[in-house]
Amino acid sequence: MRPKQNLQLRRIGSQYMIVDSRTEQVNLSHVFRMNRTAADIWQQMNEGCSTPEALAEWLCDNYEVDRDTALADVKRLLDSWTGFGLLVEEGGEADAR
Amino acid sequence: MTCCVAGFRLTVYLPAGCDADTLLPSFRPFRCQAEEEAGEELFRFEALASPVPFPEGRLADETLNDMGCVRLYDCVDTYRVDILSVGGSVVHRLLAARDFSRATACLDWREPDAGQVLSSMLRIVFSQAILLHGGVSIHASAVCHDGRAYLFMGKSGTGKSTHSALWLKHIPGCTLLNDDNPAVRLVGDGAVAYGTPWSGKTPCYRNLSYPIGGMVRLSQAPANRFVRRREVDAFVVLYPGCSVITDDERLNGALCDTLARLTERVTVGTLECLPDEAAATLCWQNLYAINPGHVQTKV
Repeated sequence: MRPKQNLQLRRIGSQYMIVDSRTEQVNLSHVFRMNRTAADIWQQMNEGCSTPEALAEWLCDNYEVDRDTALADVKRLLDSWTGFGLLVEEGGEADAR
Repeated sequence: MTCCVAGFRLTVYLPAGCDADTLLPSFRPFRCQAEEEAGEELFRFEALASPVPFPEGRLADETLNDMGCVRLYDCVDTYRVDILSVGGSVVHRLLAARDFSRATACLDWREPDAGQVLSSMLRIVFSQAILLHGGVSIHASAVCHDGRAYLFMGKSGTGKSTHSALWLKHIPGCTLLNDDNPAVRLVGDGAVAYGTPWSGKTPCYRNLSYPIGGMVRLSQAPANRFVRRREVDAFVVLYPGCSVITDDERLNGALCDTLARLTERVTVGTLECLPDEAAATLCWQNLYAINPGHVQTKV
Protein backbone atom coordinates (compact mmCIF):
# COMPACT_ATOMS: atom_id res chain seq x y z
CA MET A 1 0.00 0.00 0.00
CA ARG A 2 1.02 3.59 -0.50
CA PRO A 3 -0.57 7.02 -0.06
CA LYS A 4 -2.72 8.19 -2.95
CA GLN A 5 -0.78 10.55 -5.16
CA ASN A 6 -0.81 14.29 -4.48
CA LEU A 7 -2.10 14.07 -0.94
CA GLN A 8 0.12 16.47 0.92
CA LEU A 9 0.76 16.26 4.61
CA ARG A 10 0.69 19.71 6.18
CA ARG A 11 1.53 20.90 9.64
CA ILE A 12 -0.75 23.36 11.41
CA GLY A 13 0.62 24.36 14.80
CA SER A 14 1.05 21.13 16.74
CA GLN A 15 -1.26 19.14 14.45
CA TYR A 16 -0.99 17.56 11.03
CA MET A 17 -3.58 17.30 8.30
CA ILE A 18 -4.28 16.03 4.82
CA VAL A 19 -6.80 17.72 2.55
CA ASP A 20 -8.37 15.42 -0.02
CA SER A 21 -10.26 17.51 -2.54
CA ARG A 22 -10.52 14.81 -5.17
CA THR A 23 -13.61 13.23 -3.75
CA GLU A 24 -16.54 11.68 -5.59
CA GLN A 25 -18.60 14.81 -5.07
CA VAL A 26 -17.65 18.06 -6.75
CA ASN A 27 -16.92 20.84 -4.26
CA LEU A 28 -16.71 18.46 -1.32
CA SER A 29 -13.34 18.09 0.36
CA HIS A 30 -12.27 15.94 3.27
CA VAL A 31 -9.83 17.16 5.88
CA PHE A 32 -8.04 14.48 7.92
CA ARG A 33 -6.40 15.36 11.19
CA MET A 34 -3.36 13.38 12.32
CA ASN A 35 -1.22 13.30 15.39
CA ARG A 36 2.55 13.24 15.21
CA THR A 37 2.84 9.45 15.16
CA ALA A 38 0.30 9.02 12.37
CA ALA A 39 2.04 11.78 10.42
CA ASP A 40 5.37 9.95 10.87
CA ILE A 41 3.84 6.73 9.56
CA TRP A 42 2.37 8.58 6.60
CA GLN A 43 5.79 10.05 5.88
CA GLN A 44 7.40 6.60 6.09
CA MET A 45 4.90 5.27 3.57
CA ASN A 46 5.68 8.14 1.24
CA GLU A 47 9.33 7.22 1.52
CA GLY A 48 8.61 3.68 0.35
CA CYS A 49 7.93 1.78 3.58
CA SER A 50 4.82 -0.02 2.40
CA THR A 51 4.05 -3.12 4.53
CA PRO A 52 2.51 -3.17 8.01
CA GLU A 53 5.49 -5.23 9.23
CA ALA A 54 8.05 -2.72 7.96
CA LEU A 55 6.07 0.17 9.44
CA ALA A 56 5.74 -1.62 12.77
CA GLU A 57 9.48 -2.22 12.81
CA TRP A 58 10.10 1.45 12.13
CA LEU A 59 7.72 2.33 14.97
CA CYS A 60 9.57 0.02 17.39
CA ASP A 61 12.86 1.66 16.42
CA ASN A 62 11.53 5.14 17.06
CA TYR A 63 8.90 4.85 19.79
CA GLU A 64 8.64 3.03 23.12
CA VAL A 65 6.34 0.26 21.93
CA ASP A 66 6.46 -3.54 21.64
CA ARG A 67 6.26 -5.21 18.24
CA ASP A 68 2.81 -6.82 18.66
CA THR A 69 1.16 -3.60 19.79
CA ALA A 70 2.90 -1.65 17.03
CA LEU A 71 1.79 -4.11 14.36
CA ALA A 72 -1.82 -4.16 15.59
CA ASP A 73 -1.91 -0.35 15.72
CA VAL A 74 -0.37 0.02 12.27
CA LYS A 75 -2.84 -2.44 10.77
CA ARG A 76 -5.75 -0.61 12.37
CA LEU A 77 -4.45 2.72 11.08
CA LEU A 78 -3.92 1.41 7.53
CA ASP A 79 -7.41 -0.09 7.56
CA SER A 80 -8.88 3.24 8.54
CA TRP A 81 -6.87 5.12 5.89
CA THR A 82 -7.91 2.56 3.28
CA GLY A 83 -11.52 3.02 4.33
CA PHE A 84 -11.19 6.77 3.77
CA GLY A 85 -9.62 6.19 0.34
CA LEU A 86 -6.28 7.67 1.30
CA LEU A 87 -4.24 4.62 0.26
CA VAL A 88 -3.93 2.75 -3.02
CA GLU A 89 -2.46 -0.65 -3.89
CA GLU A 90 1.15 -0.59 -4.99
CA GLY A 91 1.16 -0.14 -8.78
CA GLY A 92 -2.61 0.44 -8.73
CA GLU A 93 -4.30 2.78 -11.14
CA ALA A 94 -6.50 4.40 -8.53
CA ASP A 95 -4.71 7.73 -8.97
CA ALA A 96 -6.12 8.13 -12.46
CA ARG A 97 -9.25 10.14 -12.51
CA MET B 1 -7.67 50.32 -17.36
CA THR B 2 -5.21 49.68 -14.55
CA CYS B 3 -6.45 48.93 -11.04
CA CYS B 4 -4.91 48.11 -7.71
CA VAL B 5 -6.86 45.51 -5.73
CA ALA B 6 -5.43 44.04 -2.52
CA GLY B 7 -2.10 45.63 -3.44
CA PHE B 8 -1.96 43.84 -6.80
CA ARG B 9 -2.01 45.30 -10.29
CA LEU B 10 -4.90 44.29 -12.56
CA THR B 11 -4.72 45.41 -16.17
CA VAL B 12 -7.93 45.30 -18.16
CA TYR B 13 -8.04 45.99 -21.90
CA LEU B 14 -11.47 46.93 -23.23
CA PRO B 15 -12.59 47.26 -26.87
CA ALA B 16 -12.53 50.74 -28.40
CA GLY B 17 -15.69 52.61 -27.49
CA CYS B 18 -16.21 50.82 -24.17
CA ASP B 19 -16.02 53.14 -21.21
CA ALA B 20 -14.50 51.50 -18.15
CA ASP B 21 -16.17 53.85 -15.66
CA THR B 22 -19.60 53.12 -17.12
CA LEU B 23 -19.11 49.37 -17.49
CA LEU B 24 -17.27 48.83 -14.21
CA PRO B 25 -18.40 51.52 -11.76
CA SER B 26 -17.37 49.48 -8.72
CA PHE B 27 -13.74 49.61 -9.92
CA ARG B 28 -13.55 53.43 -9.77
CA PRO B 29 -12.04 53.60 -6.27
CA PHE B 30 -9.39 51.07 -7.34
CA ARG B 31 -8.22 52.72 -10.56
CA CYS B 32 -4.65 53.91 -10.95
CA GLN B 33 -3.31 56.39 -13.43
CA ALA B 34 0.09 54.78 -13.79
CA GLU B 35 1.06 51.10 -13.79
CA GLU B 36 3.87 51.67 -11.33
CA GLU B 37 1.41 52.92 -8.70
CA ALA B 38 -0.40 49.61 -8.69
CA GLY B 39 2.03 47.08 -7.23
CA GLU B 40 2.92 43.58 -8.34
CA GLU B 41 1.07 42.36 -11.43
CA LEU B 42 -1.63 39.81 -10.74
CA PHE B 43 -3.16 39.45 -14.20
CA ARG B 44 -3.84 40.95 -17.59
CA PHE B 45 -7.35 40.62 -18.89
CA GLU B 46 -8.40 41.39 -22.44
CA ALA B 47 -12.06 41.75 -23.41
CA LEU B 48 -12.48 41.28 -27.16
CA ALA B 49 -14.79 43.34 -29.34
CA SER B 50 -16.14 40.35 -31.24
CA PRO B 51 -16.28 36.60 -30.60
CA VAL B 52 -13.45 34.21 -31.43
CA PRO B 53 -13.58 30.41 -31.12
CA PHE B 54 -12.52 29.08 -27.72
CA PRO B 55 -11.31 25.51 -27.13
CA GLU B 56 -13.59 22.74 -25.97
CA GLY B 57 -12.97 21.12 -22.62
CA ARG B 58 -14.21 18.80 -19.89
CA LEU B 59 -16.99 20.23 -17.74
CA ALA B 60 -15.33 20.50 -14.32
CA ASP B 61 -17.87 22.49 -12.34
CA GLU B 62 -21.23 24.16 -12.63
CA THR B 63 -22.61 26.72 -10.20
CA LEU B 64 -25.66 28.88 -10.00
CA ASN B 65 -25.31 32.33 -8.53
CA ASP B 66 -26.97 35.71 -8.87
CA MET B 67 -25.22 36.17 -12.22
CA GLY B 68 -26.86 33.04 -13.60
CA CYS B 69 -25.22 29.77 -14.52
CA VAL B 70 -21.43 29.56 -14.46
CA ARG B 71 -19.73 26.55 -16.06
CA LEU B 72 -16.05 25.79 -15.72
CA TYR B 73 -14.34 23.71 -18.40
CA ASP B 74 -10.90 22.19 -18.08
CA CYS B 75 -9.24 22.61 -21.48
CA VAL B 76 -5.88 20.99 -20.51
CA ASP B 77 -3.68 24.08 -21.01
CA THR B 78 -6.37 26.58 -20.10
CA TYR B 79 -9.65 26.99 -18.26
CA ARG B 80 -12.78 28.17 -20.02
CA VAL B 81 -15.63 29.75 -18.09
CA ASP B 82 -19.07 30.16 -19.66
CA ILE B 83 -21.54 32.51 -18.04
CA LEU B 84 -25.18 32.25 -19.01
CA SER B 85 -26.79 35.27 -17.45
CA VAL B 86 -30.20 35.14 -15.82
CA GLY B 87 -32.95 35.49 -18.37
CA GLY B 88 -30.41 35.77 -21.16
CA SER B 89 -29.97 33.35 -24.00
CA VAL B 90 -26.41 34.49 -24.61
CA VAL B 91 -23.31 32.76 -23.32
CA HIS B 92 -20.40 34.97 -22.36
CA ARG B 93 -17.03 33.20 -22.46
CA LEU B 94 -13.76 33.57 -20.66
CA LEU B 95 -10.49 31.78 -21.41
CA ALA B 96 -7.76 31.86 -18.77
CA ALA B 97 -4.25 30.49 -18.34
CA ARG B 98 -3.96 27.73 -15.71
CA ASP B 99 -2.50 30.23 -13.26
CA PHE B 100 -5.04 32.91 -14.24
CA SER B 101 -2.26 35.42 -14.95
CA ARG B 102 -3.75 35.98 -18.41
CA ALA B 103 -7.38 35.92 -19.51
CA THR B 104 -9.38 36.71 -22.62
CA ALA B 105 -13.10 37.36 -22.63
CA CYS B 106 -15.75 37.27 -25.35
CA LEU B 107 -18.85 39.08 -24.20
CA ASP B 108 -21.98 39.98 -26.02
CA TRP B 109 -21.78 43.74 -25.59
CA ARG B 110 -25.40 44.20 -26.65
CA GLU B 111 -26.60 42.55 -23.44
CA PRO B 112 -27.73 45.10 -20.83
CA ASP B 113 -25.83 43.28 -18.09
CA ALA B 114 -22.51 43.08 -19.99
CA GLY B 115 -20.80 45.25 -17.35
CA GLN B 116 -21.93 42.97 -14.51
CA VAL B 117 -20.78 39.90 -16.42
CA LEU B 118 -17.43 41.55 -17.02
CA SER B 119 -17.12 42.36 -13.31
CA SER B 120 -18.06 38.79 -12.46
CA MET B 121 -15.39 37.46 -14.84
CA LEU B 122 -12.80 39.72 -13.27
CA ARG B 123 -13.81 38.40 -9.85
CA ILE B 124 -13.34 34.82 -11.02
CA VAL B 125 -9.90 35.55 -12.48
CA PHE B 126 -8.88 37.56 -9.41
CA SER B 127 -10.03 34.86 -6.97
CA GLN B 128 -7.86 32.19 -8.63
CA ALA B 129 -4.86 34.34 -9.59
CA ILE B 130 -4.39 35.62 -6.03
CA LEU B 131 -4.00 32.07 -4.68
CA LEU B 132 -0.50 31.75 -6.16
CA HIS B 133 0.51 35.03 -4.50
CA GLY B 134 -0.19 34.17 -0.86
CA GLY B 135 -3.70 35.55 -0.96
CA VAL B 136 -7.27 34.37 -1.01
CA SER B 137 -10.65 35.75 -2.03
CA ILE B 138 -13.12 34.99 0.72
CA HIS B 139 -16.88 34.77 0.72
CA ALA B 140 -17.52 36.90 3.77
CA SER B 141 -18.91 40.13 5.08
CA ALA B 142 -16.20 42.30 6.62
CA VAL B 143 -16.31 45.21 9.01
CA CYS B 144 -13.54 47.36 10.45
CA HIS B 145 -13.30 48.56 13.98
CA ASP B 146 -10.42 50.35 15.73
CA GLY B 147 -8.02 49.71 12.88
CA ARG B 148 -8.76 46.01 12.49
CA ALA B 149 -10.91 43.98 10.10
CA TYR B 150 -13.35 41.31 11.23
CA LEU B 151 -14.64 38.81 8.69
CA PHE B 152 -17.90 36.90 9.00
CA MET B 153 -18.22 33.75 6.95
CA GLY B 154 -21.03 31.27 6.52
CA LYS B 155 -23.27 29.60 4.01
CA SER B 156 -25.46 31.82 1.84
CA GLY B 157 -28.48 32.95 3.82
CA THR B 158 -26.85 32.42 7.22
CA GLY B 159 -26.86 36.10 8.02
CA LYS B 160 -23.33 37.38 7.32
CA SER B 161 -24.59 40.77 6.19
CA THR B 162 -27.09 40.85 9.05
CA HIS B 163 -24.31 40.19 11.56
CA SER B 164 -22.18 42.95 10.02
CA ALA B 165 -25.17 45.30 10.25
CA LEU B 166 -25.48 44.45 13.97
CA TRP B 167 -21.82 45.40 14.52
CA LEU B 168 -22.38 48.68 12.63
CA LYS B 169 -25.41 49.47 14.75
CA HIS B 170 -24.21 48.44 18.19
CA ILE B 171 -20.43 48.77 18.21
CA PRO B 172 -19.36 52.41 18.10
CA GLY B 173 -16.89 53.36 15.38
CA CYS B 174 -17.55 50.28 13.31
CA THR B 175 -17.77 50.59 9.50
CA LEU B 176 -18.37 48.18 6.63
CA LEU B 177 -15.28 47.15 4.62
CA ASN B 178 -16.92 44.79 2.12
CA ASP B 179 -20.17 42.82 2.24
CA ASP B 180 -19.40 39.76 0.12
CA ASN B 181 -15.92 39.26 -1.21
CA PRO B 182 -12.99 40.74 0.71
CA ALA B 183 -9.48 39.57 -0.10
CA VAL B 184 -6.99 38.35 2.49
CA ARG B 185 -3.21 38.27 2.23
CA LEU B 186 -0.36 37.16 4.42
CA VAL B 187 1.75 40.29 4.88
CA GLY B 188 4.89 40.42 7.00
CA ASP B 189 4.15 38.53 10.22
CA GLY B 190 0.43 39.19 10.00
CA ALA B 191 -2.59 38.98 7.77
CA VAL B 192 -4.46 41.81 6.08
CA ALA B 193 -8.02 42.09 4.74
CA TYR B 194 -8.78 44.28 1.73
CA GLY B 195 -11.91 45.82 0.30
CA THR B 196 -12.51 44.88 -3.34
CA PRO B 197 -14.72 45.94 -6.28
CA TRP B 198 -16.99 42.96 -5.52
CA SER B 199 -19.41 43.31 -2.62
CA GLY B 200 -22.51 41.30 -3.51
CA LYS B 201 -25.72 43.28 -3.36
CA THR B 202 -24.30 46.01 -1.12
CA PRO B 203 -22.50 48.76 -3.04
CA CYS B 204 -19.51 48.98 -0.69
CA TYR B 205 -16.39 49.27 -2.86
CA ARG B 206 -13.74 50.57 -0.51
CA ASN B 207 -10.09 50.61 -1.44
CA LEU B 208 -8.98 50.10 2.15
CA SER B 209 -7.06 47.48 4.08
CA TYR B 210 -6.72 46.53 7.72
CA PRO B 211 -4.87 43.89 9.70
CA ILE B 212 -7.28 41.12 10.57
CA GLY B 213 -8.69 41.04 14.09
CA GLY B 214 -10.69 37.85 13.62
CA MET B 215 -12.46 35.50 11.26
CA VAL B 216 -15.67 33.83 12.33
CA ARG B 217 -17.99 31.26 10.78
CA LEU B 218 -21.61 31.99 11.60
CA SER B 219 -24.47 29.57 11.91
CA GLN B 220 -28.05 30.22 12.94
CA ALA B 221 -28.96 28.90 16.37
CA PRO B 222 -31.51 29.41 19.15
CA ALA B 223 -28.82 30.87 21.42
CA ASN B 224 -25.56 32.77 21.03
CA ARG B 225 -22.32 30.85 21.56
CA PHE B 226 -18.77 31.70 20.50
CA VAL B 227 -16.08 29.01 20.32
CA ARG B 228 -12.46 29.76 19.55
CA ARG B 229 -11.07 27.35 16.91
CA ARG B 230 -7.41 26.52 16.55
CA GLU B 231 -5.11 24.61 14.24
CA VAL B 232 -6.95 22.06 12.05
CA ASP B 233 -10.32 23.13 13.48
CA ALA B 234 -9.54 26.69 12.39
CA PHE B 235 -8.55 25.47 8.92
CA VAL B 236 -11.91 23.68 8.62
CA VAL B 237 -13.68 26.92 9.58
CA LEU B 238 -11.91 28.92 6.87
CA TYR B 239 -11.53 26.52 3.94
CA PRO B 240 -15.17 26.27 2.77
CA GLY B 241 -15.49 30.04 2.38
CA CYS B 242 -12.55 30.33 -0.01
CA SER B 243 -12.83 30.57 -3.77
CA VAL B 244 -10.74 27.84 -5.40
CA ILE B 245 -10.94 25.28 -8.17
CA THR B 246 -10.55 22.37 -5.77
CA ASP B 247 -9.61 19.98 -8.58
CA ASP B 248 -6.58 22.08 -9.45
CA GLU B 249 -3.77 20.74 -7.30
CA ARG B 250 -1.58 23.79 -7.72
CA LEU B 251 -4.27 26.33 -6.85
CA ASN B 252 -5.80 24.23 -4.06
CA GLY B 253 -2.36 23.41 -2.65
CA ALA B 254 -1.47 27.11 -2.56
CA LEU B 255 -4.75 27.86 -0.77
CA CYS B 256 -4.12 25.15 1.86
CA ASP B 257 -0.61 26.52 2.44
CA THR B 258 -1.97 30.05 2.87
CA LEU B 259 -4.76 28.97 5.22
CA ALA B 260 -2.40 26.85 7.31
CA ARG B 261 -0.30 29.96 7.92
CA LEU B 262 -3.34 32.19 8.35
CA THR B 263 -4.65 30.03 11.21
CA GLU B 264 -1.40 30.66 13.06
CA ARG B 265 -1.75 34.45 12.71
CA VAL B 266 -5.44 35.18 13.10
CA THR B 267 -8.05 34.53 15.77
CA VAL B 268 -10.57 32.11 14.27
CA GLY B 269 -13.88 31.08 15.77
CA THR B 270 -17.40 29.86 15.23
CA LEU B 271 -20.45 31.78 16.33
CA GLU B 272 -23.80 30.11 16.77
CA CYS B 273 -26.07 33.11 16.78
CA LEU B 274 -29.37 34.85 16.75
CA PRO B 275 -29.73 38.02 14.69
CA ASP B 276 -29.54 40.24 17.76
CA GLU B 277 -27.37 42.79 19.53
CA ALA B 278 -26.11 40.20 22.03
CA ALA B 279 -24.64 38.11 19.19
CA ALA B 280 -22.63 41.07 17.89
CA THR B 281 -21.48 42.03 21.38
CA LEU B 282 -20.47 38.45 22.23
CA CYS B 283 -18.51 38.13 19.00
CA TRP B 284 -16.82 41.49 19.49
CA GLN B 285 -15.91 40.62 23.09
CA ASN B 286 -14.31 37.36 22.03
CA LEU B 287 -12.33 38.88 19.19
CA TYR B 288 -11.50 42.33 20.50
CA ALA B 289 -12.04 42.95 24.17
CA ILE B 290 -10.24 39.86 25.49
CA ASN B 291 -7.38 40.11 23.03
CA PRO B 292 -5.10 42.66 24.69
CA GLY B 293 -2.16 41.96 22.37
CA HIS B 294 -4.11 42.76 19.27
CA VAL B 295 -2.86 46.27 18.75
CA GLN B 296 0.78 45.24 18.89
CA THR B 297 0.73 42.85 15.95
CA LYS B 298 2.96 44.21 13.25
CA VAL B 299 1.84 44.18 9.65
